[in-house]
Amino acid sequence: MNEKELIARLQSRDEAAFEELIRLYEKKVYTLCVRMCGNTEDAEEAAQDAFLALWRGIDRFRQESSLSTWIYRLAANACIDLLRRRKKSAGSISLDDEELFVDAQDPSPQPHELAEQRETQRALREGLMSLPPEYRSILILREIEGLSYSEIAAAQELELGTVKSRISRGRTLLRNFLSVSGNFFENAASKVTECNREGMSAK
Amino acid sequence: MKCCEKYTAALSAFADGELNETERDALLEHLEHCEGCREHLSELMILHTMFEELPELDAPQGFSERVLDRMHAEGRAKKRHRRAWPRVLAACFALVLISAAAWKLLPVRGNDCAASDDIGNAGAAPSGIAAAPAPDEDSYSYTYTTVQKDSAQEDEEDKKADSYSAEAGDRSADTAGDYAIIALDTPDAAEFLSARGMAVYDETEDYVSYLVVPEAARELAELPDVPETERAALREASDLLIVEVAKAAADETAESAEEPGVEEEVNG
Repeated sequence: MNEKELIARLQSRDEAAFEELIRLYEKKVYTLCVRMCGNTEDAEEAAQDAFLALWRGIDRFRQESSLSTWIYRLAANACIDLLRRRKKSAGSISLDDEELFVDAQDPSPQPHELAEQRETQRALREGLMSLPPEYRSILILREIEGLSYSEIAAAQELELGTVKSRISRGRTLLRNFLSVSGNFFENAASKVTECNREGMSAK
Repeated sequence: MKCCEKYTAALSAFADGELNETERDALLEHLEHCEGCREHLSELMILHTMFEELPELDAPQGFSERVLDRMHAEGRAKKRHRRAWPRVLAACFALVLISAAAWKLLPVRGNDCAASDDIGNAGAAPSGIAAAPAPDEDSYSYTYTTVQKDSAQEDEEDKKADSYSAEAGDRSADTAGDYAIIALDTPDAAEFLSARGMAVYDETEDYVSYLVVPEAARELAELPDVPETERAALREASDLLIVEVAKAAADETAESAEEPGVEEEVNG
């Protein structure tokens, strides 16, 4: 069944189509929500909210964007709403969720590799949670879900220029966090500065 | 070595393959002689590989079933709400009128107990239940403001439905539930609630539901056959709630009320 058929069936309130849609997108939506919320319990609630929002709003879906872009948008909104409701801070991430960041499918890595992988994933998870939700969601859509800038602009209802600057700003913030917390990058402070004019003129 | 601020966003977009040809050429030219920006670009790549190491996660077991359960629950609540809405409006409007009438009547005919009793007890209270007091201004103005709030929500929903504003529309999830619903199959409940003048909220083949003020809910809790869980919920009521009385139970009450009369006739 193609996307148009699926949408048509959803708009005629076909529950089997809704179930199919959930199965198609649940991994992506749930992953996005775990990365956004930082714990599995909130992630499931937000993911459920996103699918229900889709079911409630399917009549108003005018197919200006793809169904997947819309789902990402609903998921990101559901997470931001939930985070606001809970007023959760970065410090409230449950350590129980740590195993979620190690790929179970990875072909038996050596213990030291596994430890490194865990360390990287922990740092990245904490770094993501340290970002304001608006930056976090945009980075997740780009880096984890692989959306293009125009898809993100549609999903987040932002100008293309804003998407570009937020992704860049989010990455700089994340890079600075990781350099402080995990020795991943050279300096603690942002290395971004005004352009070196000498360098510019040297041709 | 430091990266140039004016190129930061371009470097990030370049790493994502989001620059047009002109922008890319300009950046490549700059990168040729700016070590700081080359280093920043490599950091962006490292960051990207870190993200790539994050696995996609399986949704928890039973996830889709739980979404469908919530969908069905919302569907039921909405249906009930939509069907009952005109009836609730009419009932509340009537209550406001009665309330206004009572408020005008009482000070003038303050000594006329019969007048206030008539308003308070639309029918005879079942034996063993304290006679209901006359409605006071508070309980009904309470009803009225709650309905106003509800009506505003409804308007809001309609507004959202008019335009494609999925973001706003989808955020109404938490306000979807209107009132707490308590289901009872206690025979006396329907009679008691009618006797207390509670508005019928909805009626189907299976049940009659009433819109109940907290004061009446607390009295209802004291009926003999109310199960413990419902009794506790009724006692704790602090807002308007809906009490759903199973139709079979309501009919039983009617039948059992008629039976003695029939017997009397036969005996007489």
